[in-house]
Amino acid sequence: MEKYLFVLRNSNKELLTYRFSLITEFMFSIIPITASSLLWISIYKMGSGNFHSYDLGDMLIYILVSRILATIILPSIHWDISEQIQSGDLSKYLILPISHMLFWFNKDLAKKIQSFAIGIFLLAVFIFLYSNYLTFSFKINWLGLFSIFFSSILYYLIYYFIASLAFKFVDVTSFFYTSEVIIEFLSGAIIPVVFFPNLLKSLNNLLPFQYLISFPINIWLGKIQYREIIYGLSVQFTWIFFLYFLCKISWKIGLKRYEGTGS
Amino acid sequence: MRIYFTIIYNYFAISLKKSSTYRLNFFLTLVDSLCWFSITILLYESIFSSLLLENGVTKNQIFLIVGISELIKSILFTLFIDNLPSITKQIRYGTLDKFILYPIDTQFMLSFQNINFANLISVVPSIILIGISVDKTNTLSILLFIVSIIFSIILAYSIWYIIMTMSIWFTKIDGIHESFLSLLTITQYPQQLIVNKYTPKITFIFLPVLLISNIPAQILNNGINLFLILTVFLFSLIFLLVSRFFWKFALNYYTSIN
Repeated sequence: MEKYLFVLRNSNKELLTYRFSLITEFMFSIIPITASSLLWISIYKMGSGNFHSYDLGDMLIYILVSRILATIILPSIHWDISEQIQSGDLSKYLILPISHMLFWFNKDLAKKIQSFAIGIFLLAVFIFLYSNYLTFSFKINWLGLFSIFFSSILYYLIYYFIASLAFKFVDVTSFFYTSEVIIEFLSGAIIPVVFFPNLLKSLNNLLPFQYLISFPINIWLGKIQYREIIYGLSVQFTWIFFLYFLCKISWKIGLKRYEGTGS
Repeated sequence: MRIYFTIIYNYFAISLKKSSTYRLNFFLTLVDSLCWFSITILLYESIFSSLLLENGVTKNQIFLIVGISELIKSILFTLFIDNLPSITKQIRYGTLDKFILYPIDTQFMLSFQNINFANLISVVPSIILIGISVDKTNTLSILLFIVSIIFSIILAYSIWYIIMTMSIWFTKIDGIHESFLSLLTITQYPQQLIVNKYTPKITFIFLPVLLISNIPAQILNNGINLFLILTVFLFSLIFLLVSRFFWKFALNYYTSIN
């Protein structure tokens, strides 16, 4: 375990060296958050009534938290891992006495920890700016925290699995873009999943994506009851379990195809 | 001037050959473009299916702007998505040197060296969406609409290039082009929904970006309006000139590491 803590510490130091890059990345995320929150303010003011039990305050807090949460927990490991596979750089990790999956999990965790600090600051700024519209009172919700923890593991496993496709298809960058777009939308990072058409809602119920963003936020917003929360957490856990084995299998198959070209 | 046309022609030919070589990537980019388009439509359909807005903002108007925004985005991505984001890399690895040494305009070479044809696929559904959403129009309006689209693309390109020029100072920022892509999402919104009495006055800073899709939409729907054409022309001209001056100014600070 100590070696993985070492990875975490080292990645943390590396990220601190390029802290300006991380801060700027967050600054860029302000633009779409501002634009979509202004859009929703106008929609609620010009239109009439609430959407699916979301009043303006709920919607604003949903948009702010979902976008910031997505920026924090969205992994970018798939880009690096696929590059390793393409360049043959993966070989050096294969001969090390470490788990590749845990190595990248800790590297990703370091980024999430630092992103969390910046994300909380940004969220506080937005809450202050929109305080006129918000009726949100902050209290620690342990089940909500659990679900965010589970969703970040789930997010990681999904992208770890996607990265393994680079064994089969050498250049999969376009597929990464496509999958990011689809996952972002289906997770509820753009609009709450209750807004989806019925057919899409039913389809989404069979997939793990709504448990990435929409589910944790709805726990914090008090939109779902205790029984549904427990059910949702168990679904999250089941998906983690399933995806863990799926990743193991896909990597095992992938490594058989791996030629280590260029290493 | 002729040499520039020859270079453009060659760039197009080489890019077309590349697309046919990496067929899977080309096909996936096609899927990506279609996914983006479908999700955007689904998003607005979900929001506005049961909603009527005051101040004359109708569902058709919103879809018209979404269609125009997607049309501009697909042309913009076809021409520049493989070029402008790579400026940071060229600066970081010092490969910009070779572009500076060529007896051809550096901005031109950096902007057109790779054409991504797969992004053109979104043009077809965008035009269909525009056709469905437009209330009434005539031939002259359509012609002026095409002119305004060209100016809008120049305006969007110039904003993108100005942002990318900042890589000369911020070489370590990989996703600097993401800021432009974030800005581009604003082009999907009707101007009245972003700049109005309910939103803070500071939102006027989004105005140049909002003009990119909103002016062509107004021209197509409301007929000939010389003021609107002049506005988009002036904005595109000013931003294009700024992008050139800013690039030349920034090059003074370029320190090659190659």
